[in-house]
Amino acid sequence: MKFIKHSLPRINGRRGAFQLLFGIVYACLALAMSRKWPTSLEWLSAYMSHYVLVAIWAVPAIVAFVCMFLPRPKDALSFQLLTAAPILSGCLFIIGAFAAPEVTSPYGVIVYWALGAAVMVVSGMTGDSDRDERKVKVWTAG
Amino acid sequence: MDGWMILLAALATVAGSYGASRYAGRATVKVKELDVDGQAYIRAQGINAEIVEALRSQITDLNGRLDSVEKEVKEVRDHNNALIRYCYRLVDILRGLGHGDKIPTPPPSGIHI
Repeated sequence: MKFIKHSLPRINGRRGAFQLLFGIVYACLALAMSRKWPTSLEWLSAYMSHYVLVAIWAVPAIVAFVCMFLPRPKDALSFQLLTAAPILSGCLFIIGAFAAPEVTSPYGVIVYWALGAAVMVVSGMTGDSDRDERKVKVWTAG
Repeated sequence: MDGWMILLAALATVAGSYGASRYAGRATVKVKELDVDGQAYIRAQGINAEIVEALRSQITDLNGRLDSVEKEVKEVRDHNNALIRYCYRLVDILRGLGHGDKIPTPPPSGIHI
């Protein structure tokens, strides 16, 4: 049992846990969007495939599930995609508010951009147990 | 929506997403300068605290020794004064007996009779 535990790749501390949590959330959103177009984004069906919308959420989720084992800064791609997906979706909601104002809820924008903001904030944070392999610049006075 | 509006909105969407994504990427790979400064500060603070504690201990020790030396100097000075007074009395007795010329002069350096 101990051998198995040591053999498994270790999730990178709090950053890894954050990526796991958000990966699960994004995967659920991708799954939900794969079943049907969100009402607020139905206008998009005239411009792009349904799979693109699913991929916007599924790709960051998959990358997050991989990068949660990597030390900082190798997990940068995960945070970039986790940020881009909700910001992109929020913008699409705003466009939807102009395209079909009767069906677009402002709450979608708030929720999506809050997700993006949370990732942006956490991307600069480091937990005590996180592996951090960034370059170190030694500061010397004078 | 018109075509140009859709194009404009798409461009704004891509730009916003790219900007946010770029921020997250930069925050992730940012050079660890502040953390090192913080750690250096904490290390320096620890070293300084040790030095201050050692100096305080030395000051306490020196104060104790200084008190002891001052007490000893006071005792020696009192004894010296008593001895000088005793010498005056002996010199007076010798002079009274007519042996004043046998008193060795001058007295040792620092002694004034």
